[in-house]
Amino acid sequence: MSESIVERQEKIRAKFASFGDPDDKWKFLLDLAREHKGMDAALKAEKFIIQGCASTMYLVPKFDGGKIHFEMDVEGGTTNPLISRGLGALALQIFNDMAPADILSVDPTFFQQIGLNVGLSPTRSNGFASLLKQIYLYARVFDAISKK
Amino acid sequence: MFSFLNGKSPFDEAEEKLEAGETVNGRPKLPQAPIMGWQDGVFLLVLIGLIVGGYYYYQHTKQVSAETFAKCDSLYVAAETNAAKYVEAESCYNETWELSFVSDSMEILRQNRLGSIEDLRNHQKDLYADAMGALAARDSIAAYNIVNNYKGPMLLNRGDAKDWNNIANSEAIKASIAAAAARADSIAKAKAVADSLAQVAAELRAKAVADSIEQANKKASKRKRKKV
Repeated sequence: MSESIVERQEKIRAKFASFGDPDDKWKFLLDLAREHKGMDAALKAEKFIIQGCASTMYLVPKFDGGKIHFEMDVEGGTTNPLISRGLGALALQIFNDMAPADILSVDPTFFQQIGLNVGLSPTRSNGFASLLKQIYLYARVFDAISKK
Repeated sequence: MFSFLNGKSPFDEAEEKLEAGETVNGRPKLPQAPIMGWQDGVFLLVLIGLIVGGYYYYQHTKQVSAETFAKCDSLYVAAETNAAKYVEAESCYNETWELSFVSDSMEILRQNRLGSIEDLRNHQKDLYADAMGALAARDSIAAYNIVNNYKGPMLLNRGDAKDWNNIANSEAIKASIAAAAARADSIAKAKAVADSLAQVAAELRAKAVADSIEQANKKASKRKRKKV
C-alpha cells in the first residue's frame, strides 16, 4: 500500500527534527537536488514556469488515475541552483502522485512548522511559496475537474 | 610470471647456468620463466602511473578549490564592510562553477552566499522599480531620494544601472531639490515671522485683557470706597 500524504509529512518532519547541525538541512537539500531527475527538455514550455522564482523553475502536472504527477526542474543559467532544485524535490516528496483532495488537505504552513524557512534567503522563500501556490492551484483545478 | 618454486630467483638460476657454461647459440641460456612479460611490465607501469597521477591530480584540484573558495570567502567577508566587494565576491563564486572538486560544505557556502547576493540584488531591483514609478508619476524628488538613500552595492544590470546613476546624479533633479529646499526655507522663515507676529499680537491681546481687568478692578474698588 502506498504512503498517505500524512505519513509523508511525518517522515519529512522527523527528518528535519533529526538535524543536529544547521548544515544538515542544506546537505539534505543538496542530496535531494542531486538525486532528482530533471525533465525532458520538450516539456520545458514557458507556461510551466513558476512565476516569482529567481531561478527558472518548471512544474509540469499530469492528471492520471485521480492523482497528480508532477515533473519539476530548475535552470539557473550559468549557475547550478541546487538549493532551489532541492526545495522543489522536497515539495514533490510530499505532493507527487497524490489525489488533489489530499494535496489540498496539507496545511500550507507545514514547511514553516518544520523549520524549512529558517536561514532560507527571502528570494528562495518567495520562490518556494510560489511553487506551493502553483501546486495548490493545480490541485484545485484538477479537484474541480474530477468532481464534474 | 614470478617463479620462486624451487627456492631460487630466476636471476640466480640464470647466473648459475651461465657459470656452468650452458649456452644457446653461443649466448648464455636465459631463464625459462621470466619475472613478467614486457606487456605486463608496461601495463603495471601505466597502472601505477595512473594511480599516482590520479592521486596527485585529485590533491591538486582540492588545493585549487580550497584556494579559490578562500579567495571568494575573503571577498565576501570584506563586502560586509565595503558593499562594492559583493560584485567581486559574486563573480568569484561564479568562477567556482568551473572547479572539478567542490565539497558539500563549499557547495552550501556557495549556494547560500550567492543566494544572499541575489537577495540584495532583488532589493535593489525593487527600489529601482519604485524610483522608476516615482519618475513616471513626475515625482523626480522621490525618485532621487529613493536612489540616494540606498547604501548597498550596485548589483543591477548595465541598462538599469545606467538609469539608476542618471537619477542619482541628475543635475536637474538636484536643482529642483535645491529650489524646493529654498522654497521650504523661505516658507519656514515666513512662518517664523508670522509666528512671532502672532506671538506679539497674542501678548498684546493678553496685556490688553489684563489692563482692562486691572482698570475694572480699580473702578470697582473706587466705588467700594465711595459707598463706605
